[in-house]
Amino acid sequence: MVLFLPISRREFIKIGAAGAIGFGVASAIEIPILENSINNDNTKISQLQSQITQSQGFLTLNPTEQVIVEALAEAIIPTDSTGPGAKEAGVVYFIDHMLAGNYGKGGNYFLRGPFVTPQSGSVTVMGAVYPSTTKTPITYSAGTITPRLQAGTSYQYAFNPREFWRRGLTFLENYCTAAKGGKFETLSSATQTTVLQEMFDNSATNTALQTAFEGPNAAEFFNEIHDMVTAGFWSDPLYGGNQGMVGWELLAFNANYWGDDIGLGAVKLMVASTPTRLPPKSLGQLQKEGGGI
Amino acid sequence: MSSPINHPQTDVVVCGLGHMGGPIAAELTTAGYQVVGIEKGPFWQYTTDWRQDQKDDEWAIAVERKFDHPLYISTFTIRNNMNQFALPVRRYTKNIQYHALGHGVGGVGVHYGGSLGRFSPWSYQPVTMTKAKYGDAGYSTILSNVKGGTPDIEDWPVTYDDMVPYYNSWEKAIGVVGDQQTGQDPFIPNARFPMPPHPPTPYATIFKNAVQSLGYTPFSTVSGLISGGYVNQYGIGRNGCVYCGWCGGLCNYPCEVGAKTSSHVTTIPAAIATGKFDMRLESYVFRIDTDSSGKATGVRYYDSLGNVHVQPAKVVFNGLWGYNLIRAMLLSGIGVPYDPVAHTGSLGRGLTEGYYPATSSASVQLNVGANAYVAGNAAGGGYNIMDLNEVNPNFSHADDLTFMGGVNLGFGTYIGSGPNTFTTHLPSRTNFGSTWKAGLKDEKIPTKITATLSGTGPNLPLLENYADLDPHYTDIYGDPSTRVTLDWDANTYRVSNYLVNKTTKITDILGKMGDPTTIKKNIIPELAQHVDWWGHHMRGGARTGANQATSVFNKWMQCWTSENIFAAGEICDTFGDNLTAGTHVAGAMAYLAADGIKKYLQSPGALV
Repeated sequence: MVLFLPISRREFIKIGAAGAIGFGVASAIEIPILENSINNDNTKISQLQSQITQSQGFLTLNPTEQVIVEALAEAIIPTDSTGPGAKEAGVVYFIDHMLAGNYGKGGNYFLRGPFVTPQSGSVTVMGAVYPSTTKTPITYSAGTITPRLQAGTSYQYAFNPREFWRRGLTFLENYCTAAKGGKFETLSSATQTTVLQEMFDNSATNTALQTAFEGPNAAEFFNEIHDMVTAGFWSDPLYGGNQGMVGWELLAFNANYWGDDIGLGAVKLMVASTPTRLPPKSLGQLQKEGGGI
Repeated sequence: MSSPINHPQTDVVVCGLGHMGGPIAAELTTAGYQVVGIEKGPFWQYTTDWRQDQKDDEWAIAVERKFDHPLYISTFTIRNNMNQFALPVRRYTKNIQYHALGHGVGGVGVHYGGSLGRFSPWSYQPVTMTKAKYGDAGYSTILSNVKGGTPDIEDWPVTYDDMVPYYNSWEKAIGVVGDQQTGQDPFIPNARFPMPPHPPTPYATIFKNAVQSLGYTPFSTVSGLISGGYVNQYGIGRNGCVYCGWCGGLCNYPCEVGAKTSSHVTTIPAAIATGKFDMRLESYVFRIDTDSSGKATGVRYYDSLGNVHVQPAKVVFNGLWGYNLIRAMLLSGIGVPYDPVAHTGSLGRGLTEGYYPATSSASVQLNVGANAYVAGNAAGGGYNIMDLNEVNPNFSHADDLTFMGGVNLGFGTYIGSGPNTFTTHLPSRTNFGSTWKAGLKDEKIPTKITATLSGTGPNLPLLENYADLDPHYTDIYGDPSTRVTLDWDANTYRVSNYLVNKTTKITDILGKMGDPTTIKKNIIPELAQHVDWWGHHMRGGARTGANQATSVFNKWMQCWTSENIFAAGEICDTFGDNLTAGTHVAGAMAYLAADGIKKYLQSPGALV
């Protein structure tokens, strides 16, 4: 089938629109919103609010989304005995800033139609029928490989990544409310883990999950969340995440420092059979020093 | 739209200024010809645009791909068989570990990994030499065992010996790194490289010693990241690699010192220096025009404001990136499009994919540590062996004729590159939470490292795999996108399974490298998945060949049906070896094409 914006299972709020242009009769305009509780968790919003400064705040995530994204980031990279996590790194700001700009707009994406949902069954596009061609999963000693539906299935949506997130977050909250008895950010750590695994699995028999996620599907959204949370933990601090380079510190990633001033350097590190842990250096530090090549 | 802007005729118009266009521009201008070069992207300068203090930015480079081709300008569609609807590639993603398309002078060369290497004599004559070894019956057995389609394999119209002088020219131009005494390996004669190898890592040395003790012949990994200061035959000088580690496995990073061999620092500056090179940047070629005899009259392109320009030329060189090379000719009505039902025609035929995602492997723990964040994919003195390959005249798999080719076994750098794209950091059912996070601590500076060896074999050209024009999707100007119809054959699986499962050779090697009790084998079943996205090294589709019915270009890279159109690129390969990279082969092909163009300009007509 050709996928345009799915409009199934939406609730509609009818508002009067006396000024409806071009029609002589005042009519109601139907404004579709995705089904979602708009009751915000005021405590959590207040907590986030307390971290806002003149140069650190939100550009696109609304207060409801801020709380969910923060909870997702902490579930994926928790603050624990290993060290600082997504919270200290400011991952939620990274995601917010990226979604507000080129990334969120899909600046480099090819977003022209037709939009066709990858699927194993047959599809009809502009009158032409393309029959079903599936492969069966292969089980071997190390596990089962589920074949992809077909090539090129990544991101076949008519909307940009900002919208992808808006939809995905709404679906997630709806799923958690329906299946787990509360919104994601209110669930126990163990239940949050279960939810993330269920999203990854994206099982066809998980009816509640399949009902909640209309596109992106649960696995696609999990991958995107994971990609962006880890990117917020490990990208340069200039983007708003990885604050204090805590993400790099965890991995012992040296970024732009090779110990040249202490008699090391990249070649010595490369040929050494005993590795040296070096502190990282960010692009900002390098620029401030007027350094680099 | 305003009327087209007409330019005076030039000797040669070069479409695309990447790995292929650069040598043509340099060779023809230094030979005294006037050349116009047309490039859809800008001319980035590494001294200003790729400063280390801005460029070493994993988010911008590996995820946002800010120096790569924007897909909104053009993309292509892909499906696994001709019954499917082909879906367009809509974005680059962080966890899809493949090349992005190039954009700007240098093309993909700006951010490739630098893995190089010549094809062997066998790679140029796979049919003849495989038959010579296993007999006609043995070769038939191999073909009958191909799974996933009907093989469509041919010899190149040139031999390895024919290509040696062109390899030499390419290697001098870009400063290829490799062994200066022994060359590539004993099975590839007359290869001596201009730059010495990079300093070897301890783990690469362990591999070298292990395979040597077993009687194999390791050779230094052939690299396009130069190992020191170098001046090429055009007098263009460059700096050596600084081993920063950023241009690691994912091949996304431009080089801040110009050590990565790309046309923007090797051949294009040489063309500019002649004063005979007219470069049109941010200009998008959309047609090659022909007259009633089929000869090209020139090209048409859009400038960045949308104006149409007409550039007449005596010779058109098509140096566009892979699928776009085919597409430009399909859009222009040049050549005979492949018919996947009748199996006639040649343009689009023989398409293969050089990179294979899942191969069987085996690993062992070594008693050395490493810092994974330094050195790049092709920097760091790795070693390879080709002993277990058809390349080696003494290699035989007569006991198992279910595949073609053999293994290119290599061991070089540990990984390199930034943390966002490490496989242990990608989304999975278990890659989140405290347990996972604890496992990440210092993971890339281990005191003992695990060495993994895997082999890849060639993908075989099949009658089922081809390229044509998509009926639904277009580029930003409204012209149809390329549609790729491609799926894996089983060859690579079988090659790697043969190595890992059916012989004891891999265990022997690993046992010499590290603790034999830690050897693990991972056997992947064949044909487990479709071609997923799109890969590193698309080959074939616009093949050079001896047979006009099945190839687009003759041995001089001259188009059979339009005598003044020449081309070069991996997409013109007749057959692909199992080197992961075919850049080196294509570079030599570009020098051959330059020779062909010179011959043609001196004496127009069909070259023989």
